Formats: sequence, C-alpha cells, structure tokens
Amino acid sequence: MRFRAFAYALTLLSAFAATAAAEDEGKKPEGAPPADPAGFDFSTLFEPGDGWRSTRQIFVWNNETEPETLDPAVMTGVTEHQLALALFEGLASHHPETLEPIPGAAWKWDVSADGTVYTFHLRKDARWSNGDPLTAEDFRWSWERALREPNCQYKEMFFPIRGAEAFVEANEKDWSTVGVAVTSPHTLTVTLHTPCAYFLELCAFETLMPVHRRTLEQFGQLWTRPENIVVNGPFALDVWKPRDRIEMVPNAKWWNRGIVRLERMVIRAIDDQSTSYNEYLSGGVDWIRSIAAGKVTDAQQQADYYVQPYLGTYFFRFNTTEPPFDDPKVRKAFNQAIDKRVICETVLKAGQVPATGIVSPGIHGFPEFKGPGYDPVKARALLAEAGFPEGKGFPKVDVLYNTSESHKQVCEKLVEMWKTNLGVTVTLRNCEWKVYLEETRKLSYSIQRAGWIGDYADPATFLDMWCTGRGNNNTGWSSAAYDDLLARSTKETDPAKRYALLAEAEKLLCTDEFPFMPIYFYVNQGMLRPEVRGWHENIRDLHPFQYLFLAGPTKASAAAAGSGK
Amino acid sequence: MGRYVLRRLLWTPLVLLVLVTLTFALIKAAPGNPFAMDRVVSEEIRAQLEARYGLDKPAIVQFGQYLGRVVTDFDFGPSMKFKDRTVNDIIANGIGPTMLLGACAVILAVAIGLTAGTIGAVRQNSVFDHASMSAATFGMSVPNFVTGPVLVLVFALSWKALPVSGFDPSFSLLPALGIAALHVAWRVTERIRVGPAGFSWGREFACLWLGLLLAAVTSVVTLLARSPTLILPAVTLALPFASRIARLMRAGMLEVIGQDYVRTARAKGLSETTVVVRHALKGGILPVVSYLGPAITGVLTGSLVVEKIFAIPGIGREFVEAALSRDYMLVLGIVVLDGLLLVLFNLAVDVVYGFLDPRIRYE
Repeated sequence: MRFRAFAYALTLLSAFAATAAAEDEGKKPEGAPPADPAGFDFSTLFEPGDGWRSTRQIFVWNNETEPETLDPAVMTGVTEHQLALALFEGLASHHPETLEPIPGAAWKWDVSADGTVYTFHLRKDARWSNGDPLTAEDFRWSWERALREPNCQYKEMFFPIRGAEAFVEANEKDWSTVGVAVTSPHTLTVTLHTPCAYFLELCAFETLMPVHRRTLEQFGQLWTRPENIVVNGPFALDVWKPRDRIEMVPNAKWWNRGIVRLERMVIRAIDDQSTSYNEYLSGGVDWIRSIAAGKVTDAQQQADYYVQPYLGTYFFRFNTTEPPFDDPKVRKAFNQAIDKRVICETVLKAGQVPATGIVSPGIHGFPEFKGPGYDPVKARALLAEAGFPEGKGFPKVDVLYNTSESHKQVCEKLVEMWKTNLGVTVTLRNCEWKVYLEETRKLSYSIQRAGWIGDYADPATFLDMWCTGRGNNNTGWSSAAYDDLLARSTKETDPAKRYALLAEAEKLLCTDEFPFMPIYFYVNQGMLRPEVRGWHENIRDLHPFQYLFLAGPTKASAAAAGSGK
Repeated sequence: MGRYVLRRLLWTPLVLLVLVTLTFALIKAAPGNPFAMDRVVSEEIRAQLEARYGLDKPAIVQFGQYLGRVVTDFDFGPSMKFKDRTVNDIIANGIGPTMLLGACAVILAVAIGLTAGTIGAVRQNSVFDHASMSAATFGMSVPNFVTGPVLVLVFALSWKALPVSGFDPSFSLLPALGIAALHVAWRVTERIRVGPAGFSWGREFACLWLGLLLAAVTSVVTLLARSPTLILPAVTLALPFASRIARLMRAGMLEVIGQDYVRTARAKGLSETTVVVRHALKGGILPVVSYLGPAITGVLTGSLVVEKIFAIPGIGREFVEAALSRDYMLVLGIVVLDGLLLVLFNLAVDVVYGFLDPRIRYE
C-alpha cells in the first residue's frame, strides 16, 4: 500500500510541477516556488477509495498532549500546529504529499519580478464558520494583532515582511510602516524587505493564519471556547474537554467543503506514550504520532508501524567563549572522535540517520552536506595539536542535557567514545527542562545537548541561527564570513545561487569550525491503521485532515459512532 | 466543640497565607522562566510577555497584587502555560474528575479495608487472616506505577474487558435510593416489631452509619458498572489505601478485643456479632480514622501517576506539570486548593475522633 501511495504521489507531483512550471514561465526567476498555481485542481487530491461511503467517517487519533492554546497566533508547539491545520487556513495551504504551498484562502498569487511584492487574491467564496465573508482586511487585522499580541512568541515568522521587525523590536506604533496593504476587499499586497524563498510556506504557517476580529473583541481570552470560536478552516470545533479530548466536525461554510469526507475527528490528549501505544493496540485510537522508547522494538514488529524522515537535527553545542572549546581544533577533535553510526544503531535503533552536517535532509533540491566523519586517529592528532596530547592536561568539562532516559543514553555513549578515542574524561550533568534552558541561555555549560526542528522546508531554518548574536546561537560562536554568506543569501533572488550560498555556509560551519557537533537527523515514528487513507509520509509530520478518510470501519470509529456522536 | 471548630476555621486563612507566601518565595527562587522555550525569542518579545503577566514588576508588588486579586475577586489569575485559560478554569475542570476518582477509591478502600481488617482480627490466624494480610502487605509495597500498567496489561490488552484509558463517567442515583428505602423499611419494621420501648438514638445512629456505608459502596459500584473507564484507575488508586486500612483496622481491633470492656460485654452473654459491631468496632476504628484525614486529602488532590497512566483529566498532573513548566499562577492556585482541603479534612478527622473516642474533649 505504501508503494502504491508513493507511486501515486510521484505521478501527481510531476503533473503538478509541470503545470506550475508552464504557468510561471517568463514571469519570475526559474525554479522559484510555484507562485501562480491558478486553477489548482483540488480534485486531484480527492484520493479514490472504495468502501468509504459505507463507513462511518470518524477519525480517532492521539495528539500527545493538551494544547496550550487554540489561538493560531499564540501557538508554538507541534500539538497545537496539528489542530491549527484543521481549524484555520492561511493564504496558502500544504500539499498533502509534498507539503509545497498550494492555494489556501487565496486562490492565486502574483509575485513581482524582484521577488519582494506578493499580491494575494482571496477567494470570493471563502467564509468564516459563522457565514461572514473572509476578506483581505481579516488577514491584515490578524497580522497586526499577532505583532501586537504579547503572547505571540513566533513574531519572527513575520520578519521577512518590510517593517515588521522594526514594528516589534523598536516598538514602532505606526502600522503603516509595515508592508501589508489591503488593495481591494479580496486583494492583499505584501511587501518584503528582501526576497524570501520560503515566504509562501510561511503563509501556510499557523502564526500567519487569520482570526475572526469580532469574536476576539467580544470574548477576549475566551474566544477559543467551542461556544465562541469562529474559524475559517476545513473543520470546526465541536467539543473541547481539556486534558481529555477535542472533537471537530466539518466546517459547513468552508469553501471546499466537498472534499472533506470525515464526519468527525476525535482527538485525544494522551500524554503518556505507553498509554498511547496501549490505546492503539487495544483499538482505542487509529493514529498515534510517536512511540515510547521502550516500545519501539515491539512496534517495529507490527504491520501498522511507520517511520519517516523528520525535518530535525540532534546535535550538541560547544561553548566557544571559554577554553577548551574556544579552540576549533578541540571542537573538531571531539566531533571526529564520535562514531555516529554506532549511536544510531545501538542506542536509538529506529532508523535515525547519522549526521555530519546541520541541515536535515529532505529539503527539496538542497544537497546533504557530508562533513568529516569518524576518524579517531585524526581526532587524536587534532587534540595533540591543540596542546592536549593523549588528552593530557585537558580541563574538566561536562555535557549538559535535560533529564531524560534517551538523552542520557546518547550522552553516556559520547562520554565513552571520548574516553576511548581521545583519553578525555567528560562528566554528565542533567537538569530539569527549564533549568537546562536557563543554563543554556547563560552559556553555563561546556557541551550542551540540543535539537532543532525546522519550521519550514528550507535550509535557512537550520543555518540562520548561527549568525552572530542570534537568540538561538547560544554558543558564543561568531564569524564575519558566515554572517556575510547568510546576508548575501537573503538578497539572492536566484534560488539555485541562493542554495549554493547556503551550502557554502553549511560547509563553513561543518568543516573546521564546528560550533556544534551534529549527531543524527530525526525520524518520526508512529502507528496508523491501514483503513486511514489520504495520509502521506512527509518530513514535517503534517497531514492536512481535509484529505483524510476511512476506507473501512475501525474499532475506534465504530465505538465513537456507537456512543451516539 | 463548636468553639473549637470555629477557632480552627478562623486559623485557616492564616495557615493558607503562610503557605502561599512560602510557595511564592520558593517558586520565584527556582531557576527557570515560565516563557522559556527551546527556541529563544528576542528580548523585546520576552519583555512584552513578561509585562503582560506582570512579571516586570518587583516580586513583592506581584505578590501583593496576586493576594489582592485572590481575596477581592477570588481570581487566581491567568495560566502562563495555557494561554486561553485561567487558573480558576483549569482547577474547575480538573477538580471534578480527581474528586470523583478519589471518592471512588476512598470508598472502595474503606469498604474493603474495614471488612478485611475486622474479619482478620476476629478470626485471628485463620486462613482468611493470613491471606488478607499477605495481600495487604503486597498492596502496600507495590507502587501504583507498577499496579496500573499490570492491570492494563491483564484487563485491557490481554483480556480486552476494559478500556486502556479515558474518562467517561456515567452515574445513576437509583441503586443508592433503593438502599435508603430498604434502610427506612428495616428501621420501621423493627419499631413495629419491638415497639417504642427498645428505641435508642445510639442504635439508630449506628444503623445509619451502616446504611450510609452501604449506600456509598452501592453508588461506587453503580458508577463503576456504568463507566468502565473508571474501574482500573479507581482500583489502582484504592489498592494501597485498602491495604493500609486493613492492617490498621486489624491492629486496632486486636487491641480493643483484648480490653476489659469487651470481656465485660462478652460476659454479659452478648452474641459475638453484637460484641464486635456495637462495642469493639468503635474503638478499633480509631487508628483508621486518624489515617483517613491525610489519606483522603492525598487522594483528592490527585495522583500524578494514576492520572497520567489512565489519561484522567485531573488536577494531580496539572500541579506537577505546572511546577515543571514554571506556571507560577497555576502552582499557587493549586497550592491554595490543596492546602484548604488538607486543613478541612484534618479538622473533620479531629471532630469525628471526638465523637468516637470519649477520652478526647475539645475545649
């Protein structure tokens, strides 16, 4: 079944690419994201499947934990993102297989030749769930509100837009400085300060999704309650029992209501991974998004188990502001003394990919960087060059991680390899999550465990943070050459040249400098019933719910139907 | 007695104030920030957030404002983690499931524990005694993060008789009302049979207790029969309490049964049942009563482990998770709630003690 889906995806993808390319010719730089997929045929996403008509279309799945909010502008987590995908729709939306931006609330968009002005044409038939028309002003107001809302922590998603960063950072009060203009009730013109290759992806991101002004003004903090909330996505909120479940039904006013086959989604908030796995085994839920570390081997024996590459990198930061890691040779020695394959195969065991670069693979068109690999002889030589032959005289250092059994296992393996290959003793230091974050921010560490999940499928999401002074740099590392490469890449309108600059930046990071030590690229594991269709593996674990359906009854859907819902 | 209770109640706000002050100081002293994420936001964005929740003010001002809001509006503030919800709202949502589950567990534990303990004491060294005490030792020493998953494995995954997790309570008052009706019928027929001469308030009171216990147990059984999701968590939660109560009850009863007044009662020629139920039980239950106060509070403030294993939307895990995510407001709110419960249940235990043990006088 997986193979069939894959072949199907390929056919579709090539057809899609062909139409997009034909449309774009002569308008904009070649190879850029599909800027004008006017007439995108959504019916191609209506996957045929027998038996769905005679099946109660109730999809029961586990969303891992209780969402911190249902307000798209305030969300930060993966759990919330899943819910936002169902409830709201940005100007663009995600293609269910490739995740490329396809039309959402806007039916088409034009991009200026220099790539800085986007004109979005909103659907005339797009409506809020209460029947109000969805207009360009709704987006403008929502974006202004997000930038003013103290609870919005992802304001930087707006920063490609001209004036947005100043509006936030310099506490600019005047909205007219921001490059968002309503040019007609259904036309939104957005001006960027430099071209942004992934801006359309951002337009599908939850922070840029619209919210209903009148509802917010009337109910304030209570606007997301089921009795108050007004949404513009494929589903509407029906039940919200905190810590227990959320239930959604199709939004009757959604412009593409016809494509939605599910009649209800029951979304559990089971945060214990063992319980979640047991629920799946007992037939209580039809999709779980992760698997408890202790159950992986058991799960791999099951037919419903899946594992997909995930857009994320697991790495360790070095504190480059103090000895011994202020010396790039020491950092490189520590890097080359680690056999990452062993960690993936003996500790993690779920198909994680050893990493020698920082950019997670799977980003369309961006080559995976192969940096220097495991080489204990070279590592020892480097350490000797740095003044610590056979590890003699090496200062006491420790590796900081947040308390967790799986991190501990990885760290123990590292410590063991450093001891064997370099003769250096590194101790372990674990802290509870919030303390760990504080220690990281204050650079009170020598080596720190870290992970980074990409927000959008573009190498910049992994590279931008290493620029001087970036909040997420957290290593004290700084390089004028690197900053310059990144600055040039943002100004570059030719995607191929831009990728070349970014690849060069990654090479700079991961050849001699190594402010961090990449270990592996994430994978995402879960269990999914074969009856669930329209679900496709992808690197961000996003599965737009409007395309899902059940090809046959499952125990969970039958139970939900039986309880009169 | 009334004055004693009144005095204890008047002390309550002061106790809570001390508790809140200490908690506030501790949580402020703990490293970490409620808004820290693994991705760092700019100083400006952080500052806006902190201003939104008043964290930019000096700690003493924050504390004063917090107390003022709690006292005047009974408003425990916004949650810093759950941005759409207030602390009042989260507590209101979580306290129901926790209390329902806790009540089930306590009633089950009391019913099982008292029965097993009493029979064990009366039939000391019998097969039942040895079996129940071995079971009790087992129940006390195996932690619920072991019993819970084992019960799930056996009853939910292998036998498939019960659901793995969830919270779906359904209740009917009818069986309990039936017990009440039977109780009334029983008392009335006895009056008709024996006549007014044999009437004593003491006996009515003892019978009422019996009736109440029966009604409570019936209600729990009804609830569990109608809501299968509750069975495993209630049993998991009840097991250690039932074991403890059984052992305490047995020890208490053994001590009382050896005393002179019980020998006197036997010498009067009373039946063994009357000796046990009317004379020994009242004294033998004292250790259980003093244990019940903190035990009930413990159960009602929620169990992190049981709520997590069975995905119960209760207050116990809210508390622990709030502390871990530095949700200052939610931690303080739940501390006040738990403190209040603890004070009230300890008071209730002291009052019941006074009724049961004539040696204790409250002045």
